[in-house]
Amino acid sequence: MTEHDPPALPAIEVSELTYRNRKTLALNSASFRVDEGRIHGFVGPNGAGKTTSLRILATLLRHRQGTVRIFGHEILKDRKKVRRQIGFMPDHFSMYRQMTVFEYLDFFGAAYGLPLAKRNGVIDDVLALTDMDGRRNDVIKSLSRGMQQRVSLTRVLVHDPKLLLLDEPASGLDPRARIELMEILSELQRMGKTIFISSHILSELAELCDSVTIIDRGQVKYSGTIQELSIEDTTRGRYVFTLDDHHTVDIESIGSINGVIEANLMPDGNGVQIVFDTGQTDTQMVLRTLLDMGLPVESFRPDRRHLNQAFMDLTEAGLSS
Amino acid sequence: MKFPILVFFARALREQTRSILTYALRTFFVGILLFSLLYAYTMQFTNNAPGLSFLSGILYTNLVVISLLGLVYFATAITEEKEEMTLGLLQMSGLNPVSILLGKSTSRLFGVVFLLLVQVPLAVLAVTLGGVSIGQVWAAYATTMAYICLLCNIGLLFSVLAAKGRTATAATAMCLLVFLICPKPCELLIEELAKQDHIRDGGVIHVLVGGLCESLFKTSPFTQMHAILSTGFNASPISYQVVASLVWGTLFFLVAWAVFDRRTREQKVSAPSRGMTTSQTGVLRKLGAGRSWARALAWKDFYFLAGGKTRIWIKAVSFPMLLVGSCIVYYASTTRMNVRPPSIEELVVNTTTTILVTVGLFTLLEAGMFASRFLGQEIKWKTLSSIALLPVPTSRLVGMKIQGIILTFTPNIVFLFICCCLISKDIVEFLTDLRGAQEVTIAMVVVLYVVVYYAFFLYLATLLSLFAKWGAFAMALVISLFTQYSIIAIFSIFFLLIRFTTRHMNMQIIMLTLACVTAVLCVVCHKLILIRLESVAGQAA
Repeated sequence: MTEHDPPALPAIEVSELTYRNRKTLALNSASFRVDEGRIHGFVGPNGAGKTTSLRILATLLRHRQGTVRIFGHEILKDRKKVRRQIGFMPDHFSMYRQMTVFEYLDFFGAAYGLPLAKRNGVIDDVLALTDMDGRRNDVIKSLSRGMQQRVSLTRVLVHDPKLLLLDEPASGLDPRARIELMEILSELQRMGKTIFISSHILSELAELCDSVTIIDRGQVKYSGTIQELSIEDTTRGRYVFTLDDHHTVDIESIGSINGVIEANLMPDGNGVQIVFDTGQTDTQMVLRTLLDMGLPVESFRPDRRHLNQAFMDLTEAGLSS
Repeated sequence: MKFPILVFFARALREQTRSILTYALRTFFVGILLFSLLYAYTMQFTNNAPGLSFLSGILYTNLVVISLLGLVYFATAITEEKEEMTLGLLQMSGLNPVSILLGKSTSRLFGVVFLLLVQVPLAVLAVTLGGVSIGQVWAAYATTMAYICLLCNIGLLFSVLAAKGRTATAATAMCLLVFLICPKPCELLIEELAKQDHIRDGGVIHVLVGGLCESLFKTSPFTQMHAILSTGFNASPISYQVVASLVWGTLFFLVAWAVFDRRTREQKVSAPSRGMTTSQTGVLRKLGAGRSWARALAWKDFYFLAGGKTRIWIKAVSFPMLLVGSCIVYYASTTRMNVRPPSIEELVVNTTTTILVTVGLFTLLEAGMFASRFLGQEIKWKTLSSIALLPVPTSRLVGMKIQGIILTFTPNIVFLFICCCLISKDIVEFLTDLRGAQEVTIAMVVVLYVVVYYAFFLYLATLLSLFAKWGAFAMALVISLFTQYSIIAIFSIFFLLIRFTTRHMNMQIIMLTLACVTAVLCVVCHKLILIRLESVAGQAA
């Protein structure tokens, strides 16, 4: 982009959005923004307002207060235009399970106005992308849950939307299917799609997302990059040092390293989680000290687990609420 | 809980107490009764026995409503649990089959009985209107209660046997038809066969089948109700019909109990079926769905809801076969009875008229069934939100779905047109027989009213399917009948008052007003359907 180019419109721009579901205030002056081409996580505990927000973004619910823009279009005024630019995957299996995979995709292709001649190519492409080529003649209800989830994602892609709204797409999937799904989403981002994905587990999205919005009881608690969320406490460094084999570790001596506030053995016994004061030391110095102590450090990485703590700190919903 | 049966009963009672629908239904029933009472009171000057006509109106309405709604209500007692995959959980919780069966059936049985009990105080008022005794009232309600027991257990049996509520309802309806309609014709047939020496008079078959038919005929609540409402009825409320209904009901329950374990051992994940649409790769692939049309929703509903090409072929073959078969049977029976063989023209006109009416009624019923399913299925299988996202207005989505369904009516329309052509001479004669402008106007107004009324029924079936899990068709039938009855009653009272003042009552005006009010109700239903669709599409699962 040159300095003469107009600034890119955000994919999603939500401002002061309030939605009341009968007596419950589902969303309370929620504001956030998602830039084009990003994978944006939308995280919150159960009942936080994630699904309501997604359904408003998907034009299925009409809000009365606040503004919501998708690629600059006000969703209440330009519903038709917005619907062409979005692909929404709900949190339940919203599928015609009596159809075959091909019939299902062909149906949605036609419903979005793709001509017959173009449909074949599009369906082949999206099936290849989600690695479902071999299953095109299978009846959907005969597929596993993970496969059905893929078909659902494939359907969302048929009309080539710029923005994907995915409501907890990984729920109920086994670890392998989750990893495969995340790989597909990364591939879609590389293809230029903007992905807005909801989950109630922040750490699950941490590796995938560029930015995140945390919502609790209808209120946005945080909206920004993962990095900013991680280093919000700039006085602390949190790293995991992986050790070779099951080496005996003297946690007390690690804890006495200058600047180290806390040292814990990882649950699998293969590493140490170290929290240090960034004013007194840094990662390189800690690493050097560990090597000097004769510990076989294999690798080190920022500790994502503290995202869960950040999430817990930001949200209060639960039994007490 | 000490008694497992009470778990369901208590739950059903609690749900009924909390649900606003329970009170709405009871108010509706009482409202209709009060209205009928007012109507009977207004008519007492022109009616010799207003109490009897009031009571018979209530009782026959009860039987029709119970037969229509009850069969859906009772037939889904167990299938509901099967479809929601909760039957296994119930069995795991230590409830034995008899507890589940009794619990599920009694809770529903009492729901209906409570609705009936609400009426009793008002029904007793019929005695004060004259023409009916209190004994007749008790006997009539005993008959109705026994019939409910019978229906409940028939429904329960098929609910155990079938995997889906729809199948169970259809089977219960068939069984009920056998109970209510078949005994008398079968009895007559057996007598005729014995008379013509095809079976031995007084032999085992004659005695057994004849006896069974007679017993079933006497078990019919309609037969018994006719006897109760006859002048001079003075028998005990515990009639043969009451005892036989309870015995048959117990028998059905025992069979349901016997097969329960076998029929519920395996639980299948509830999913929509392809219906009559074949797969794309099998031998019958030409009957498959092929590629989606540009009007994708019409394609989907044509193949995956209405039965597609297979249904068209079945109807295209069976309708002419029905006509030809009827001609043969008619010709054979008249020849056999040593009557002069009918001329070709007589043969064609008589059979075609019968088949025209039959296929016409079938078409109306078929359209009603589709109306109660084509949007309800989207809600049932949670697919509404995915089509609501398409960049077209909701009304157009609905329109496209209707187009797909209407296509399957092609054989019906073509066949009815051919039938009309075959009896065109008689139709023209009938039309030319209409004398004067007034008769023509009345005929036109009546046709208009029938069309509008049927449209209202379709709208109502569609609307109710967006709220109710099952029974939208039966409910629409009952509510549309009640609505028309209420409108007619209101206008009758109104016009009666006018007649007292103006001495003039115009049939066309009544029918036209009725058609207009019904048309307004259609518009209201149309709006409500669109609002409800948008609301459901926005709801999370």
